Amino acid sequence: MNFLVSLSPLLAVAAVFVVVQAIGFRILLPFDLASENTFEAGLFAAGLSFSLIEFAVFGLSIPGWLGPRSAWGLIVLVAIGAGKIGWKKSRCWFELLGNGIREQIFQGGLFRRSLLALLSAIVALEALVSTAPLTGSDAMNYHFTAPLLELHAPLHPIYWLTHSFLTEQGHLLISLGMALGSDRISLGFILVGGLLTGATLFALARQMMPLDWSLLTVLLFLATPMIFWQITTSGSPDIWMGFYAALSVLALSRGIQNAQTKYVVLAGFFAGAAAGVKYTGWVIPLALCAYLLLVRRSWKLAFSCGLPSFLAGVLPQLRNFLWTGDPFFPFLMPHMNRGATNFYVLNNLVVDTRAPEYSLRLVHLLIFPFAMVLDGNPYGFGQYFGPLVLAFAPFLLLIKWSSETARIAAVVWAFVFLSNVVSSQMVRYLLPAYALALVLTLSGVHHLFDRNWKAASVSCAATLFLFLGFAFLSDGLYAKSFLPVVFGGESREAFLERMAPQYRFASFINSTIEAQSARGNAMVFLRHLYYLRVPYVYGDPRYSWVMDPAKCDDPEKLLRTLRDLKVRWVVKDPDYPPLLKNSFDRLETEKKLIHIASADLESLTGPSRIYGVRETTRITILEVVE
Amino acid sequence: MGRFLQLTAVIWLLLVNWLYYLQFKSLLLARLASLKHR
Repeated sequence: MNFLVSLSPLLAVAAVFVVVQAIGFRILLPFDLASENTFEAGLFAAGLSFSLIEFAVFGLSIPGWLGPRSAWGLIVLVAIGAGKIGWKKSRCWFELLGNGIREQIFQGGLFRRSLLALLSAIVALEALVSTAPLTGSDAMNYHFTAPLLELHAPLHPIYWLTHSFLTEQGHLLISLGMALGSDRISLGFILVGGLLTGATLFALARQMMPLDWSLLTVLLFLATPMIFWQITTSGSPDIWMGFYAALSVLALSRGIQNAQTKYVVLAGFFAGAAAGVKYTGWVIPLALCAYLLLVRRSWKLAFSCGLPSFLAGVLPQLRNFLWTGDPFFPFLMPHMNRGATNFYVLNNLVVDTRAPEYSLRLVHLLIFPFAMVLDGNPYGFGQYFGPLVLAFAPFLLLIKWSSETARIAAVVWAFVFLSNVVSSQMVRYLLPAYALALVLTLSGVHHLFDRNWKAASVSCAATLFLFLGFAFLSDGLYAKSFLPVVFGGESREAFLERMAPQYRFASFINSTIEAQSARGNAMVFLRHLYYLRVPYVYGDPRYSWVMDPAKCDDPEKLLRTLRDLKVRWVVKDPDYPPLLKNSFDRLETEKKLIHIASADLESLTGPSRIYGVRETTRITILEVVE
Repeated sequence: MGRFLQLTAVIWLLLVNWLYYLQFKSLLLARLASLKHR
């Protein structure tokens, strides 16, 4: 029974996907973009309609209307709007998909069947793990926290959670999932983003490689530990950027090959949708426009691509601009509104989004492509992408570069990679380009096999199977921690206490304050905010725009800030942030902050929970004296 | 030429694989230590 309850969010996600697919076809048909029943057409339909659904969710959230009724109402409206023709096309597409898979199972050789079996196994494992309650660190900090705070309330800036300004269109699917009834539906949408990226990768691979190689590429992609983590437990919607980046390459390639501008417009729209997921995503429309301008030498095509990109991705930038004057808040604040800039937060965000080893020295730049894979920890866990792209990079020379798909994919990959090198050197942010890098490098290996270079081919095959074994083993071991709660062998509470960082802290704060939470807010400094169920404000001056250390440098000013924020309780864990410590300590000495409860609680700690490091911390709750 | 390129490719792949999997030694040791601690 518990297992069935665990799977119920996936049923909701599947239902939404079917509806979204139908409306996608309905919209594409008048433009003659889905008249043929092809695998590609279904991907275009899904890409277009998920993006439009995000617009609708954004519209609902402006006046604060996003809730269970409006969310399910939206899905019902979309289902009706798809009309007979949309549903018919959608049914044909699913039949095409089903027949294609069935045909390969019954007619394919042993190798193909094995690939399909392994693909089914990894997808099933990912689907199961994605139904576990949310435990991702960044997600508990802001990916899921900001959408939760915005739910049921008119859209408003949350200055005390600066990261909330970084939530964009991909986060609207998280909001939609929550409004539909569960944050596990939101996690399911992230899984859908991953599976759609895999499907788009397959469509791209088929343009460069035979079927078996294409299936192998998708299998390697989905089994890659970074992808496994990102689409199951991380709670980050970044994978949607990967989907839209790959889809834009597919659409542009089709547009150029068929000399049909409408596909270029569609590619632009998808590139814009990728840009709408994260600030760094704007490099994708830039890459496509650069390709059209510099390689195709057509400003008309570049414009046809650039304009829809802008329209498809501009919403979050417009929102941030209207709120703060900076569309990329807070990164352009010193140029847009210097007087209102909290330089302490800004500097911390810049440091936070950069790899610890970040450097633009020439020697470092030469080492970086190797180090990011072979010593990944200082570069945002680059090792979890696996060694294949680096190992097979030399074989890129063997690709048939006359292929439009290969050229566009290479340009997008190069732009994403170079922008990453210059801006952050956080390899995790290369997620949107990973599918493209993988399909290109594997295409190179495929051509190597065609050359009949036995020793090199055997070494490549060994590299591939070694990584596949490693990836399956790692994914399996990683999944082991999540499966007990999915199968009902562990309660949600026990699972969260075991796996969600600082969950016990949040529970302690909830149980201590909840009964009197109407009296005001709790100021907390802990990073993982998602499971707090009392009104709170985030007080860590590193990431809270309102807690400017320059403006809270004496107890009186700090007390004024606390009162402005309606703070009734302050929670230290175990101490105050260093820059505010003196002021807070003085308030304690002056009895303006009184100790009301404390507890020693254990939690996961360190840079990654896979190391399993735990630490006991003293949590103290103090009340602000009126 | 073909033989030289092949040999280079084999050495390159061996090197990348060896260096790649080597970095997980510390993770493996940390996991074992955490299991022992439990």
